[in-house]
Amino acid sequence: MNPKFIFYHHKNLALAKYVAHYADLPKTAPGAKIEFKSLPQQAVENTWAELPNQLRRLLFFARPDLVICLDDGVRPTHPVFAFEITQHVPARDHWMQRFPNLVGCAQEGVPGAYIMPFDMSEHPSFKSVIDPDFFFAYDRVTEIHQTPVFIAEWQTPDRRTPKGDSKFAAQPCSKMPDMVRAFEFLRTAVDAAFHGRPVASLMRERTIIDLRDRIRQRAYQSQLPSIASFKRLQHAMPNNRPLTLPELRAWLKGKSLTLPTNLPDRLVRRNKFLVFTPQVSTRGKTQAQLRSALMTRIDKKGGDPYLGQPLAFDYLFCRLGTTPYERDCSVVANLTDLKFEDLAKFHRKVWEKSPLQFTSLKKIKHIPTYTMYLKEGGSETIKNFLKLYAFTADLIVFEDGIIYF
Amino acid sequence: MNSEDDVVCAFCDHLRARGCIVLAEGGNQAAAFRYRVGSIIKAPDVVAICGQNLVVAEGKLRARDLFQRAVRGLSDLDACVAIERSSAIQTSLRAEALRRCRVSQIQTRDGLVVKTALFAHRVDKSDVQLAMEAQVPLAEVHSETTIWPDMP
Repeated sequence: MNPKFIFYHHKNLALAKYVAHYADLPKTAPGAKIEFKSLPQQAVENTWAELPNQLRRLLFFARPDLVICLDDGVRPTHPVFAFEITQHVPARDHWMQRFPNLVGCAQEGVPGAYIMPFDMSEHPSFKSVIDPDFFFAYDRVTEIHQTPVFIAEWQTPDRRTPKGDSKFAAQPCSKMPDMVRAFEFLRTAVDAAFHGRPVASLMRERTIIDLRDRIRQRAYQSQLPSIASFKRLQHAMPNNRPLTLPELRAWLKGKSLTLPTNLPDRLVRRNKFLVFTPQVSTRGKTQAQLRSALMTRIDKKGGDPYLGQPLAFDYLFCRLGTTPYERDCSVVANLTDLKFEDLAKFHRKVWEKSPLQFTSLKKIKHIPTYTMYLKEGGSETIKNFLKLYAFTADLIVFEDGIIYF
Repeated sequence: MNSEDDVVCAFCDHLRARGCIVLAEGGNQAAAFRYRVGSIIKAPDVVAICGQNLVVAEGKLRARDLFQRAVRGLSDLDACVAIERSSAIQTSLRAEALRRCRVSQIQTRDGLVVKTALFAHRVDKSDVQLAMEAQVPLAEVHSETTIWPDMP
């Protein structure tokens, strides 16, 4: 059987065709065929459970615009490269919003390229320049997961308009230096995957080291990120450092809450707590208004801009290893604008739709979905906000109580 | 064809094959060619330079959905009509197209004329009737795309 590359795209077939045209994969993998498939819009769709297992794990947090999978007829179909593309400059809230998209890739050992403008300082409505902390966060991701991620610049010659390609004018110009590098990186990664070489071996290749150095040049050009430079952290940590356990107890006491007595040992021993507060502009707003505003964000806007923020702060300040348990500082999500029942209503919906409630095989409508639930429970189908906060946080603090992980 | 994305891509492939320059193509185009109709901000599925014309097009899998008004009350056909009637929207779309061509070093002619169009994969006679009444061209997109009336 000829090897096959499957381009799974997230509502972006145009990008998939553009990448397929310029990547020239059959040259890297002789005889290979290319197929385009659309990713299911939601994890509750039946086709979700039919996706290759490793691809589903990669999509745990979010969906990159394009994931290239390899089916070599021998190994299970598996992702080998991912693309994320945006016409927005990653100013602070924006990059954190999309941060989980490529973290899922790195966590699964899948290299990726993130293509974006670096300078939109003349844009009429979204004036923005790039945030160096964005590069620092991705450098940490690369270092922790030993999986290369390249941040490619989509040039904006007039500081407001991304330069288009001569053949696919809606896509980045394929001749821009960073796009040439991105395609070379893609071919290197595909070649390694095709020949069964581990992704970590890429980290020692000169091309990849050069790409990493380009990220570091931007990440370390100014001061390293600190708690004081993020209002959402500074809110509960005015001393520009994580809270100690006694300080955390005092902070909770101010909210009429008490830390559970049976807190996991690892949290007590760390004695460092990074407290993240999504809504910090509270002036003139009642508790009911704050609650309603946050619920609207979660319910109608996919949790943005708060969705990826705890994960970004985790990588910036806490994470040491590949799992959230490998930290020297615990992540606390301050959701005291909400009650426990506000988020609980989302997992109730998953529970109500779960095929695990049926005891008759005749009532199981779709076997792959049923077996996915058997193995994973509802972890893949739960609302993204809940999924990400549960994955990242050690403690979630509600108005009426605390849960820990 | 299973999705709007498939239809958009097939339509754009057809335009490219006819020598058009496709500047916006569905997908991740949130920042491109945005315009405002009342309080609603829209971004067209497709923007392409075809000869002297700047084609601004909206597509759907089923043509009948092009005429359905969404919750906020604007159908794809309404958006096309709004563009045809507003010289301000046309001017801003034209300016963005020229700017994108300039930074991308793509040659264009002066005096682009904005034309709107609709396209879909499944088209019924009643859809054609609606498009004719509104005088907006409707393309039926297959592997061999046909267009009513002649698209520029």
